[in-house]
Amino acid sequence: MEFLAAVALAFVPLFVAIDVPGVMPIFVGMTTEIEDRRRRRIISQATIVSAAIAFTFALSGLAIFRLLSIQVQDFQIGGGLLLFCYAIVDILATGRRMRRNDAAVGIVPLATPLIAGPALLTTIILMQAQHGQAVTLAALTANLALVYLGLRSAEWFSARIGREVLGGISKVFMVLLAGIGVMMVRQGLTFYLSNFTFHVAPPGGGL
Amino acid sequence: MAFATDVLLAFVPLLAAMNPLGKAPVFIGLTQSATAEQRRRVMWQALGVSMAICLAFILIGRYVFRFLSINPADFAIGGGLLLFAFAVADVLNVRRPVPMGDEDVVGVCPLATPLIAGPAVLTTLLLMVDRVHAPATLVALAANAVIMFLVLRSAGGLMRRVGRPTLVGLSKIMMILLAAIGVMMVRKGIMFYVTNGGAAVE
Repeated sequence: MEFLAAVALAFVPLFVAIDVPGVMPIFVGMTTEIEDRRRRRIISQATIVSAAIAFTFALSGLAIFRLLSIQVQDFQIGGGLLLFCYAIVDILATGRRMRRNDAAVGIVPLATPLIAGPALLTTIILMQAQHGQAVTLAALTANLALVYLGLRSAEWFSARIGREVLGGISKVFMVLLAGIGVMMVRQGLTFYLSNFTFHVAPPGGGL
Repeated sequence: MAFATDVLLAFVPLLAAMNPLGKAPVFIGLTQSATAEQRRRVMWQALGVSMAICLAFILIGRYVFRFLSINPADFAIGGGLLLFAFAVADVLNVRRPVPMGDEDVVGVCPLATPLIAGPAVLTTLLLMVDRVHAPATLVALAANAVIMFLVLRSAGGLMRRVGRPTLVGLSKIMMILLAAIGVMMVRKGIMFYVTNGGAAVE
């Protein structure tokens, strides 16, 4: 009983970090031109890859970031700029449709940096510190199941709306994606600024 | 005996600056679509060019920087932006459709520079030549090159054992991390400006 209560407590911040309701329209916007069968494959791809990333991260902590000598905020700013570029290309490339055959949208940008992005990764670390590993993993699993269900219901919805309408809506969602990108950059920059210290430069000037 | 100590003194900072292990995931991401033959070529290209850059830099680097009136932080920011552009182009499918061609030079850029022989390694080399001395720095550099070689070769071996879909997925994720590495280099360059002013090379 206590375990379940803890899982529920850990569930909510993870849910907020993943933001399934926010990912759903972006998914719809990015897959308007993809036929139904491939769209279903993208859903399972996004779920599996984001689960793999999230679990790898939950088990290894910040090891990969330390290995590449990057901070979570670098990842956040890089991911945010990338989402922004993605939105720009989508909005401007109406004639060329460069992404129509791109089967990898399930991995980038859906699985990462949208679902298993910096927000989820930092929240996992926080939950591990507060509730322990077992509770975090359980809450994470529940959330990933919700991701799958959310994407499936988004697919169900978009199958019932005409392609024409969907094409219009998708542009609006891409503008929202640009906003999400800017939000991530802002959060990363805010972290840099609020943790700013004048370092004594190490050998090599800290480069 | 004193020479061995000197080599060690130069080796450790160089290893930290070069971070060979950290280059392995990026190498995997960049050569995802390559054949084993092409991957070997990319590896030798990266090793050869990066070591040539390091050697040239030990000899005339300071003058090149002074001549162009750039400082290492400029190089860091430029390289970082370049890595970021590289990652964006890859993720958005603007650049290089699968599979990798024979004329592809990812071994030179971004692998040899700015990733392996990047601003961190080059400034460390300058410092070590001053603080220790050139022969010990050269030996330490060679030792680092050997480590780099071993890491890249085992990364290639690892890739042969992993399935294609996994490799494609992994490479996409690596491109996101490459974007983050680019941001990190820009951040460190800006920090360098802030803490040192717009100073030229020492």
